[in-house]
Amino acid sequence: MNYTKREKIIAHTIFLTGTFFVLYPFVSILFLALSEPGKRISGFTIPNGIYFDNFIKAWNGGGFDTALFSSFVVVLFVVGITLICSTLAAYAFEKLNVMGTTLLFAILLLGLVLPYESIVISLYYTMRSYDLVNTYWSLILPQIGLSIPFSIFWMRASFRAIPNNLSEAAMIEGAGRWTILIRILLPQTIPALLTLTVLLFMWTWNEFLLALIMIQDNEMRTAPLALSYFAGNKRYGDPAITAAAAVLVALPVLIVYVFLQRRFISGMVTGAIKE
Amino acid sequence: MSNKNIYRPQSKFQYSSYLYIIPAFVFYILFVLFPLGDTLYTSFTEWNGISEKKWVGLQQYIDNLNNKKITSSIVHSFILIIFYSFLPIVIGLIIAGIMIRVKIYGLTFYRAILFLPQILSMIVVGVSWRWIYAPKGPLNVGLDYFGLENVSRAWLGSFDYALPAVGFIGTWVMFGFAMILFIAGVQKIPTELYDAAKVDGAGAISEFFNVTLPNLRGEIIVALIFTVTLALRNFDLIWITTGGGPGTSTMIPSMFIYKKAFQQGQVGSASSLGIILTLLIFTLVSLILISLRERK
Amino acid sequence: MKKIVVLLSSLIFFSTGINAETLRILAEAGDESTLTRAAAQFEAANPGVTIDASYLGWDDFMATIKLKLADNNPPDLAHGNQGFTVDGTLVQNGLIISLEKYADQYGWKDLFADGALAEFMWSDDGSTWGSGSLFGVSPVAEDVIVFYNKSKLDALGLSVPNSFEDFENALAVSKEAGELPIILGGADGWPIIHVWGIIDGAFVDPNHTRGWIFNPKNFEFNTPSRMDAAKKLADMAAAGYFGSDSLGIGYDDANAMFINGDGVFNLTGTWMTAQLDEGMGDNVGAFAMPTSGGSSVAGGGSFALGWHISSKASNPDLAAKFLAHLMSNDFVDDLMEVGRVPAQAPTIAPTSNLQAEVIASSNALVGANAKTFYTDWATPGMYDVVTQELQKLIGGAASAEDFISAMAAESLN
Repeated sequence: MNYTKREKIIAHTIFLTGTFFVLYPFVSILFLALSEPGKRISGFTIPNGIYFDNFIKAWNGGGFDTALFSSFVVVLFVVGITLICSTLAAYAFEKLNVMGTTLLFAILLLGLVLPYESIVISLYYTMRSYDLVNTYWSLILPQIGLSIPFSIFWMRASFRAIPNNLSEAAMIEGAGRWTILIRILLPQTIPALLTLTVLLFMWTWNEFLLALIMIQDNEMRTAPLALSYFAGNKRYGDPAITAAAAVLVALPVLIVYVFLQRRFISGMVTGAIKE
Repeated sequence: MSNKNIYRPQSKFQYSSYLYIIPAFVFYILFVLFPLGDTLYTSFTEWNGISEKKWVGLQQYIDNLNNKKITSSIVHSFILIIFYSFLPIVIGLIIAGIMIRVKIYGLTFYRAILFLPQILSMIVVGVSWRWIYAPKGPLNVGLDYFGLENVSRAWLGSFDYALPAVGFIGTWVMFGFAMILFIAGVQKIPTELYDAAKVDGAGAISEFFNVTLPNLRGEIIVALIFTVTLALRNFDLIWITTGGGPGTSTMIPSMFIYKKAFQQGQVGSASSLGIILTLLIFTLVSLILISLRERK
Repeated sequence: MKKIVVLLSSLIFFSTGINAETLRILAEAGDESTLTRAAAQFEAANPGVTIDASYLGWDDFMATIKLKLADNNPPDLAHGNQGFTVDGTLVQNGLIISLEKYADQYGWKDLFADGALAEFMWSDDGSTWGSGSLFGVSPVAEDVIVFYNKSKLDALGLSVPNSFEDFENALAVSKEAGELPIILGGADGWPIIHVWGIIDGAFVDPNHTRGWIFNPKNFEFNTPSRMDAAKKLADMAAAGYFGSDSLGIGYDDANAMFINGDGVFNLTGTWMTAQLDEGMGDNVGAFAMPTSGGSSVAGGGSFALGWHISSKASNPDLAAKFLAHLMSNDFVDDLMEVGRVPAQAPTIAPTSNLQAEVIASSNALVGANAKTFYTDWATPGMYDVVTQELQKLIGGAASAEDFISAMAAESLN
């Protein structure tokens, strides 16, 4: 391909502009959060020092310690159980020659496009009748259900990509379905599992509406919910403290992202297409 | 097990294989399909969440679709589609089109940054942008600095500008995703196609429309579906930035669903609105798939 | 962590036979200082009882209080909001209990004039408001009055207005001089209800307004004087008296700006007294809005948010005992000290100049029988409708006629 110097400069300019555009809000908020407590900030000001006071006030005032803990618990269960269920199902679909896969896939497709805002009402009343409102289960169980379609499709694509010679060989030696899955196929799907974990982690961590409806107890709030209430209880009037709280909530996903960003991006991009 | 059989590449079908599927489907049916059916049933009733449900047939649908506030909320969602979907995709395509001609160093770095908005909770995004749009926030201060004082205003408080302002947040969230998606797609296009086009005397623009675009069909479909569904759903961002205001200028269907069900005790009406929203999304997704499908 | 500690400590208490009880309270954030004080006193007087209070900002409170009380494990004691939007719904769905027997036991009805507690009275099915059983109670009065920046008013050569026309004149003078006449946090919507309440009161007979609030189906909203009030509000907005950004500023930001020196007048409620006092000291004053023509005063006002006992409270008697503490004579002076306006006469003097002026305004309103409650109380959907329509009115997106017809339409619900 011919690329002139001019085109290179244009391309770099575009990317740098895009980067600036993306980073501006981040940096703006970060500066706001790190600013001197009590000072009324306006606009985009570079703080004259690094002050963590806002973070401390946010942490103490917003109950973010329990909120982060709650989010972690929910994420743990949702990711764990979804991974297990969807891997088993994808294995069956792809490798176990199950009848009726087309029909089952069509049913799953429904869940991929369904806006869950439509079904939260019913979920709420169901949970309430089983006395599960205000428990972690009210968040965990629906989110597993909602994550199943994408996860099954994802893992199925992964299984599909594995050539069959190894499993055939194992079958000849008398290995059962379970053994083949665990010993042979699973190790080969670890990259896909890892990416799926990262995606599920992000989506579950960021979930808000479900928590808003199900969780009334402030001890059980997840991180985004705590942030929303914190920003609403503006007795902590200072936008700087709210900014600090926002940073706190974003931090876990950001950290995972920094280390695993390749997975994130390839996950969303390629997974979306495989759909 | 008989050695005499020719081994098919896959296991012999056994009913017990269904056991592998059951756990996943139990969750799916219980927490997705069943609520959907329940919502559908409730949409034909009048219910305040406490007493008995009263069957009213299609009345809720009629009332909702006749309600100007509800129909304008749907219009608002469509306006948001322009910001969440069309703008980012157009930007992404143009940039991807430029990309084919250049090899960029540091693409990984750019990708990592451009993707950042996608990973954040919409609440975090909303809180941040609320600050940016504030009367004395970075945007207005910046505008004043460049002498554009008469442009600066209370963005999220303006009847005319609140919806585009929120839409713009969506553009910010989505454009990096679109860019990355299309660049990855473009890199898969075999260079021979471009060489062939050049031989035919095609310029950059023609290249774009005849080679790049058609080969990005899959990616465009994905981007469209992803962004359009988000634009139509979108509860979190509206909740945290404007709450539907000022007035009802940024109200969207999902916000009405919440208010009706949980603040006004009109669960039947909210359910019917939920079904309407679902049907709307299904229709749009089908339209996208049908109209952009390969025609061979 | 905290839960484990509570669990363990209550186990210990059980085993030693002492009655350990936790009273869970959900309050709107404005009551934090009041409750902290009351809780400390109550816990000291009732060993073994712990008060667990949590708070919600106003918007979140309004958005979620019904959900919270409908929960399977709701707080024992919670704030509500008078009117059909919150309290009526709570009564209709059986989520709160009647306080009649406690009122008799503790004599709450004797504390006030006959009929003063009407705003907390509901029929048992929640369909009629204003009479029936007592479902809520509050020791605090909250009125909507005008706060003003004293140094600015002096600098403009103005004094406290004697009539609404005087007030308008002050607005014009302020604007001429380059000041922001009225600071308004319109982004949140509901602060405009208070401004409306004041202007409505300046033109419309308070009896009529109150009548409409309790019985919107049978009282005409669209009356000539009310149209005058609506037109006046629209004119004020068009003249720029609220500034051009009012719909983009939140309530707390607006107050912060007022404290910082923006705005001459702040039309809001006496719940802001403590905060304004702390921020502005002697530089802030207050007066009840005089009516058009100056013959009387008017403004929104009522009891503060009512306290309710949840129907699922495990120990309603304990909850009632705490309420009795809040309502007691002993606590009245405490209310003064945290900057509230007690509904009963305090024994101590106002703790600051501002509080003195606020109490004087409040007394003026009581004396003129001109407390007009709050517009959003009238129907279950009124809160949303009136905030949206007022935003449109202020923003110039709707005319006074539009506003009146939208309100009249909602009245029929």
